[in-house]
Amino acid sequence: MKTSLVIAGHEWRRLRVQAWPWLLLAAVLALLAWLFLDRLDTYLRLQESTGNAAHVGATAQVAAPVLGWLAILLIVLVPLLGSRAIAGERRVHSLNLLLAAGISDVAIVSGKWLGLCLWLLLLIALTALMPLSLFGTTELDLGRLAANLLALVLQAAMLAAIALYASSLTAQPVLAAAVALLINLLLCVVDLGAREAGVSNSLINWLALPSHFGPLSDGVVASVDLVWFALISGIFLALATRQLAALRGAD
Amino acid sequence: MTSADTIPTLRIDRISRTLAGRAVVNALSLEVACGEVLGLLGVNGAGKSTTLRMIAGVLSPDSGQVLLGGADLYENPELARRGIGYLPERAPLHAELDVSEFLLFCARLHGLSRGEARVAVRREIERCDLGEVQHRLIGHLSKGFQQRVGIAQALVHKPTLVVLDEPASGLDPVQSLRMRELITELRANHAVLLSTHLLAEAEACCDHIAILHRGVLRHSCRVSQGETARLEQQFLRIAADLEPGTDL
Repeated sequence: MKTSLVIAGHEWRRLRVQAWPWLLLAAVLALLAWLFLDRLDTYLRLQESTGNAAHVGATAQVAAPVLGWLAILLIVLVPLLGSRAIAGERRVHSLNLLLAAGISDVAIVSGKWLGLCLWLLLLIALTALMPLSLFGTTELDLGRLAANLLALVLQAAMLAAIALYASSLTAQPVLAAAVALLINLLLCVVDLGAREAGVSNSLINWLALPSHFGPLSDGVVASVDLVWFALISGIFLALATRQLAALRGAD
Repeated sequence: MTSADTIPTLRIDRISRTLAGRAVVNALSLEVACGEVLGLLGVNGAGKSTTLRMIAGVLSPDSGQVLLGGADLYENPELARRGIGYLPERAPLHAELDVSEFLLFCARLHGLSRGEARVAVRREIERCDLGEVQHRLIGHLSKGFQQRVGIAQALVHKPTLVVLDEPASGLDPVQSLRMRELITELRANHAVLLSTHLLAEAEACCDHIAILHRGVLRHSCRVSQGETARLEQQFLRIAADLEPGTDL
């Protein structure tokens, strides 16, 4: 665990000292801020036209859409951030440093995953400040907001695990990002056919990301959804660890 | 290459490895003890780097044993590998970090506490002459300095065995000379195993030489003054796949 934290801290430092993760963060926050202001404007105009002095509904009309947008952006953003974690190191031959250091593959993968999660937590926390800035001026549904943030954190952690697995498959970060994006999109649309056929309670629905993110972001925290996120994250982290072990025996 | 009553720091026993269907290393056995520098000599593709990667734990052998201080590297990999410092052919550096920051991470990675790591980093910065560049980004350093940072990361946790893969590769003559001096200094407290395809380099800083060809140990001897010409003949004959006694 200690070594994982050392690697996580190091991954965080490596992202911190480079310009592109900050530029990516700034671009995403700017986009979300614009969406937030747009939703807020719409909400205020609605309040004026209906004369609702109690300002009820700010969470559903302003906070949830902004956090929902972040959830969509994460599907593209996390592969970009995570694809270099292992693939980039393989490309410049610096992965040898970790492989020869006498640490387990589990520690390497979990350290890199934690480092990536730290960065994503920063993004989520900064985004959360936008709806939280309404606190005191309107009645926020803090329970729903908390469930929404939990959904985002779980999704970000799961997408980071997927990105890490994709990154372990190749020495080309661009290819790794494409693979991670494909897996993410597959998880989003896997039950599309079933839903169009009116089926919403089958195994294929259970496999899809929206089936679990949706209820959580609506404020319904069910253990089945928490288990799903933990399970998918665990599977991809285990696959990444296995892939790293295979690299030592690579033919 | 050690006396019979001492346990060698490193002993590899009939290790073999096949890559892409080709036997790159075949039943190779070697020993190196503390205070010795063993040079693995061979032409490109002889299996030197693969051998060193197996010793460093980056690549697992198909068969055979790697013993560090008598302990099997692949039965207890995590503890055993902490006794090894490895510099691959391309130094494993993080270009976006400065030298001190990177070495601190390497020390912490090998299990040193924060305080121990700081002391170790200062020691290696001094030993490898990195003082003037310690706060510069690694990506902005010359090849020579980058190679020294690579050596420093291999030494920062005080390993018993130092494994260097073509350490002078790409260095100018002055940097090569400094590298040889550094390797000679390492002999005092470490067992050193290095690979090279340059006979002069092997002779300059090694106590023993093992000539590898097509993954097989073809010749092993102690380096002695005045035998350069004979050793060169031997090396060229092996490299050219000639039988002993055949003219080059």
